Amino acid sequence: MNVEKAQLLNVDNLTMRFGGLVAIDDLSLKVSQGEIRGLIGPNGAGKTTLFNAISGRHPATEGTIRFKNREIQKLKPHSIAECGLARTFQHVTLFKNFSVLRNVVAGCQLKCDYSFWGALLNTRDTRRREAESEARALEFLDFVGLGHVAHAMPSNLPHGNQRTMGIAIALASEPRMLLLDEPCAGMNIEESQEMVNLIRKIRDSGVSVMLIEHDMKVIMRVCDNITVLNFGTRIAEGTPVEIRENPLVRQAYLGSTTDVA
Amino acid sequence: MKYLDQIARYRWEGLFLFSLLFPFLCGFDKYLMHVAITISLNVAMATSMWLIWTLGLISFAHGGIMGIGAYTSALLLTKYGVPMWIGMWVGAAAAGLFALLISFPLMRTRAVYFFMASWAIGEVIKRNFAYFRDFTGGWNGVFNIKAPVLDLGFISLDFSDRTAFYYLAILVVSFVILFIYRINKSRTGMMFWSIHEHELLAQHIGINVLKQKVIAFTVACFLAGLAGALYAHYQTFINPKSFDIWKSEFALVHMIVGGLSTVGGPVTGAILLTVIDELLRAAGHFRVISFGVILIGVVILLPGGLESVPARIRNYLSKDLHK
Amino acid sequence: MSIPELLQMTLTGINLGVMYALIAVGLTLIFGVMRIIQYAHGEMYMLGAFVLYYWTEKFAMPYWLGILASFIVIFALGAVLQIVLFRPLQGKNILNSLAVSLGLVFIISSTGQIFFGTTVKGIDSVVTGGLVFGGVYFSYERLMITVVATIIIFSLWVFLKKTKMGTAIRAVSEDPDAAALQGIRTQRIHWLAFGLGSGLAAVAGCLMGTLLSIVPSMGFLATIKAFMIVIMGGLGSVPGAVIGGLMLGMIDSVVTTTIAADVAIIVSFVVIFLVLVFKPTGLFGQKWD
Repeated sequence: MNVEKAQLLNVDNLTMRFGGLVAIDDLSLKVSQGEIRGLIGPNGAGKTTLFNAISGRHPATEGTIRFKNREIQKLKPHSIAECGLARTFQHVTLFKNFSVLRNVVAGCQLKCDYSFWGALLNTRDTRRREAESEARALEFLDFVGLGHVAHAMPSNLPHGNQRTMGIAIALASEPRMLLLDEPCAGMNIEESQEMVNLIRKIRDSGVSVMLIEHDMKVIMRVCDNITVLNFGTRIAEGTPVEIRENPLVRQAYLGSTTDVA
Repeated sequence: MKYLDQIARYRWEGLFLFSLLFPFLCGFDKYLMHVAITISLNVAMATSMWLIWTLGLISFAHGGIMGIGAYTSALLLTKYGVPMWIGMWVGAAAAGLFALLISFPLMRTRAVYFFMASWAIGEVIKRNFAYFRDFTGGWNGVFNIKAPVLDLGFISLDFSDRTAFYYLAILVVSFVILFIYRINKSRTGMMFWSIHEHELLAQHIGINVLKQKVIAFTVACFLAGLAGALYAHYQTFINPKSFDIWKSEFALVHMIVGGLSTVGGPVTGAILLTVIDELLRAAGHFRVISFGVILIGVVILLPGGLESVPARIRNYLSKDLHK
Repeated sequence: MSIPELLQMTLTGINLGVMYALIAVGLTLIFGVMRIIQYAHGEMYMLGAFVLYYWTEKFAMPYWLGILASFIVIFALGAVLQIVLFRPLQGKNILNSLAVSLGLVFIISSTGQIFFGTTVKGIDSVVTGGLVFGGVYFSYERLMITVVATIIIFSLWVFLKKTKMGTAIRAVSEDPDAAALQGIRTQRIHWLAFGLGSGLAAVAGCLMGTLLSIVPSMGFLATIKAFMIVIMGGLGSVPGAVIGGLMLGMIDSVVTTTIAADVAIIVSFVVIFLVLVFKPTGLFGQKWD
């Protein structure tokens, strides 16, 4: 049994300021390898902003973010993806005019060994690699349960499948850590349960997960630990049981219709 | 899918074969070969502009970029006696280098701002040709840009002969089309289209968007510069007005009318519209009006351009069969 | 350079700047509301000038009424074009609007060449003469034009800020979805804005008509200037268009006086390019995606 699990993600004194607005205020947190970390809080608490900072979409105003012991707060999104950190987005984010399969193949391109001149000359080697990419993409689709719609167009899929597609695309870059932004939005009970299973499956395959969710049942069921944000700071952190009992958390959610149970 | 690929392949092979036989088919008619050469150059311009479009960018600097290739090659010949065989590659390289340098500020702009900035660049280039009168001949331009003579010992090819230049043009354009086609089919092409589709997502799956935009723009401008160099040695004289906004506008029209999904689109558009342009040459202003009508017609009534026609016919026929 | 020369240069700069602003403001309005490229904006300017020409020279009607007539005619034309040609393009890529407006440029400028002929025309000035003060020549006509243009721009500002319709236009420009939810008929705002923008360009054409020669090909230069200004000032920003116009007018005046006319446009392009390097969305622009 590991006494101290490796710290995969280290956020230290992060502050995110936009003009006059402080979206994240001196926030620190650590996520271990193999962990499923939940990130909850009322609307506007700074959850997606935190994801944006970690994934490089917005540069950090102050503080450091370390992933696999490397400072990433100044890196561009594509470099962070190369480091092994992938994410999904709050709204369905896909390549609408690509087939489902091609969407994931695009996600694979990061890890695909590539020779520019080989591609130009259409060598047998290149064609083999392209076939491999497609096969790998299909594997990722099967992993998330969408293998059967590989050749469909995303707009023909139901909303839930489109969100799952986003996860497949992110997984295709073979990350060590996956940031999921409200993966269960708009899903019914069955779909949410499937998502819980998928998240566990992702973790079991070696990918740590951090997820933002408003669906408390999902959070309580799947997370090892939960970080609670409000007004850009951390107000609580602990296991699901601890968080459920925490009076500060109840207070933060007071007045909202979300049931912390 | 494979079946359609086969048909496309036959079309390309057919076109290439036709181009090789064309001089014989038309009886070495000088005017017709002139039209064919013009078509080739227009194809090069339209397809290179299309390459930039695959990332979702519209560049109106194309006319000016073509001019860089043309002027470089022309001046190398007229002032320093450098033969076209070297000059045209230097011209293309000059255009590419310029594009590379200007990319870094340019790629910070997005969408419409990019369009405008590229337009500004094209205009400045053109006016600079005119401004440095002593070196470039100002508004009068450069004259006597002779096409080269290739002396291979057993045979001597004078490229001021139209047939010879025709084959040269076909050779170069085929290379350009093939090059662009292969880039588009490769992983680089997929990255380009990913950026086109959703730049934010592309960034987050590991695509260095800035780098890809610079690559696409540089390569496309290199090819436009090559076309420009050929143009200079064919026309034997150039002036700044040859490289104004019309060149960019026409490349855009060819691209849109032909279709935007594959490289076949701009090729088709350039061929068809150059032919129409020649047919209407005597019609004066109606020539330009027709272009306008065709352009608007295609955008509103035939989105997807000419290359979407076979698919539409297929859809229509298959609907009929199911009745 | 002497003080009078400096003042003269400044005066010309302001005069030009206000005119440029008038053309640019119409274009930025169209951009802001509809997010399209209206490449044929300069053609509206040209047509406006020609309407006035026929009004005053052929029908011998009063000048000021002619400007109003020109505004109304081109406003209507703009509205019709928006409904027929641009509305079907809603939601599609911006390339489509560029293509359609490019087609319009081809059609309008060539048709213009056919109907109006290529002989250079001019509109007689309503006011002539001027006075010399402190070594500087104040042309009454240019003064009048500058004042009129300034009044029009100011009225537009008031219209956009204070009136219900103006506010609706600004709402659609900022957030079309929110505006629709508020009950604003966005379709109507679209053709109104297009008509208004085109009409303003037409008025600019009229005002310039007495200063410049009128030819069917005069649209293109107006388009270039308008686009340059709008890009520099920021798409959709009226203050940006005004400031950009004044800046460009000043540059044109200064460079033409001190170096040469040819160089002026090169300098303007370089300035605009530099602005974009440091502020990729223009001086006051918002991000577009």
